[in-house]
Amino acid sequence: MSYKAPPIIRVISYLLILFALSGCAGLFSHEPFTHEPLIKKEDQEDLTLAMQVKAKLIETKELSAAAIHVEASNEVVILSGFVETESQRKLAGSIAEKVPNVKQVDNKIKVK
Amino acid sequence: MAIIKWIGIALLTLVILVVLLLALMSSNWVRDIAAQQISERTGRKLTINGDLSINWSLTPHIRVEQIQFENAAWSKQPDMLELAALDLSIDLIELIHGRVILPEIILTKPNIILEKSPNGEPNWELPIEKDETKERAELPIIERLQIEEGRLRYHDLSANTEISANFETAKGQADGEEATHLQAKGKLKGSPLALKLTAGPLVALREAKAPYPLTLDLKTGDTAIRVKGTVTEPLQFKGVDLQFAMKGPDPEQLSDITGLPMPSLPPYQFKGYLSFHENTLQVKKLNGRVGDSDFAGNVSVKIGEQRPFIKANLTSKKIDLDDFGLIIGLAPETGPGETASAEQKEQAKKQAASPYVLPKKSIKFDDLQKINADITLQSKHVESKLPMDKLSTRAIIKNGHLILDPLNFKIATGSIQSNLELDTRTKPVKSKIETKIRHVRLNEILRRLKISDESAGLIGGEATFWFKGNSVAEMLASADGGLLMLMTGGQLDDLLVELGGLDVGEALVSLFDKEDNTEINCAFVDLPTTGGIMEIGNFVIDTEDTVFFSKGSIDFKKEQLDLVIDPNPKDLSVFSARAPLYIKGSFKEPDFTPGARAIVRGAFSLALIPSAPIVSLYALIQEKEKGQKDNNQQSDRCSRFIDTLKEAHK
Repeated sequence: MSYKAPPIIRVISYLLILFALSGCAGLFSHEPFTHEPLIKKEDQEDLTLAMQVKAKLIETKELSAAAIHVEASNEVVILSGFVETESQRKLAGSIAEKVPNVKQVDNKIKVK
Repeated sequence: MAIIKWIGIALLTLVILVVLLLALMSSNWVRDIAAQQISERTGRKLTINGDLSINWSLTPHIRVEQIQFENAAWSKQPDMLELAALDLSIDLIELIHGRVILPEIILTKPNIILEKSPNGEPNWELPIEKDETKERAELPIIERLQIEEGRLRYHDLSANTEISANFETAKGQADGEEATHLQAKGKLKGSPLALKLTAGPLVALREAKAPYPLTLDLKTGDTAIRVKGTVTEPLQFKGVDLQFAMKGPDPEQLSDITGLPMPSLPPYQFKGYLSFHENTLQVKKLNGRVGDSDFAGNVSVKIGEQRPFIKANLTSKKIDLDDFGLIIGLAPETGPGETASAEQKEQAKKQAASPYVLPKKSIKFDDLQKINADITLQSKHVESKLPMDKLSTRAIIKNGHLILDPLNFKIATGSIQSNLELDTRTKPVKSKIETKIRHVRLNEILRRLKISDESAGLIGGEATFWFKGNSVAEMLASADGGLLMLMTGGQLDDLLVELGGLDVGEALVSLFDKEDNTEINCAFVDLPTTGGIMEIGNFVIDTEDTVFFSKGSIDFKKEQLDLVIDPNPKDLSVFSARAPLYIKGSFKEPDFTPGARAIVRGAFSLALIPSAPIVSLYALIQEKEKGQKDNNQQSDRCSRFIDTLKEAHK
């Protein structure tokens, strides 16, 4: 199972590093990066909102927050995932609604 | 009514005896009359080919030779019972007083064939006197019963069982006491069986007060059971005082003998004391081991209801978790110092050769419908991939429903608390598990794994999953739910290699530079799961100079990984050529491929990471056992990270 990079790849890597250094490609330029970050800046607000909702769910003892999935898009929070009872489903929905900056909650949680 | 019938029989016996007394000269005529009587009453033919002779005294001695009793019509064997000679004496004085006392009975070469037809019909069930079997018959008192060269064959075509036994009575060599010996050989439900029984004299079976001694040795395959002790009132099975010892390759093989469903486990050995009272079999001072785990305690089995009820209270010094993997279809470990049967070693080999990791073998959930149980188990130490201090669990099985609550493990000051519910009445079986990880100290785990990691930290989190399926593979392929975890401290490279069980070797070079400080400040993982596919919702690992992210999915249906771990340097001034690491392929043999990118990019903004869930979860994992002080100065690593995040959001 152990992975060993073949020598040729290592050599190429070093060459690339040298190339990058000599060209100073990224260091001083403000060109866009060749690698897309996994979290895009434009999604940041939605993500923060979703995580705030998730945080409130974690704090609610009556709920198993791990099984409730939260997403947000333009201040609309989409709840999905699973709970044990209908009242837990409603509770999760009302908790999400109370989080500041949440415009609307789309409660798609399934009762198991 | 039965009593009247029995009085009738007693009267009949008397009449026969009187006739017998009168017909001194023509005893063979009496013989024929008696044979005819029995033939008529049972519907089977009783033939007496030999002579009947009477030796007259006050206790006349009667000898009948060559007795045959016809077998059931469906059987291939013509006779159910053969007797070379029956010798008996009757006490005439007692007979006049109305009591039938037989000072001696000698059975010479009794040959008994007990059979069950392929439809399960027994040959010993005679069409008559069915209602009388319920009442206890007032049988004549036998003072001495002697058996010479007895043979018994038991043949059950419906259950692949065939046992032949030799039995006889003999004087014990030491005390001159009469003893009964029985030796049997054959197969029980297809598996070979050998049995040796030494017991007290047969007549003592009916004597109420004296404890009846017995020693039983039973072997079936590699399973050996020895029982020794006494039984008072054996026919009622009342006062049982027996010591037992047993060992075998797999408790599952005991299911046929005990009539209770037993799980498949590694080789075991147990001893204890048996007693029986009011439909309840008690096992006291049970002591023994299964594989590399030890058990002690008391067990009782109540029978007589629709399902036997097992109550057990067990303690253990050490439980080796891999001993119980067989229940869910995993072979035990077979390395040095591990205990496994030959069959289980074979299974382990097959498992190693399979391209899949998750056990596909169906779990025997149906067994849970055959019993009700309430079992508690406390163990001081648990041996597993993650060494733990303590296990405390209670299993309740009721009408096919299993609840394991609590199912708690302790690691130093921390705990992993779970509860599991399983409903075997649904097909496929539905189950649910909830787990809470609280205040588990990372350095405790690492120390036990013999990794020197000075950095202290905490792990906490929770998980809830619902499953549908009859095997672990099926269950995980249907998993709904999710997992949240937070961790502080620890060396990321060590953790990836050791905790992940991955020997990723130099692939990690792509993630870290040698000079990198890979000490984790804070790691947060959120894995929402639907239909067996675990999405990497949020996966953030914060180290001193890099934030690692991960995206992708873990597919439990196909056992496939598709992940990328992406290092994002915090400080642009530190030149870094690190590339993301792609983890793809099967669970069994994942591929670790560094991404092709090796070009510098911008510094990562911490403002991209929302701090809220980390704060909430962090508060939760701080919960710890009452009365325990946290002297861990480094436990605020996550809060430092959270502060930085909050700062970045301003």
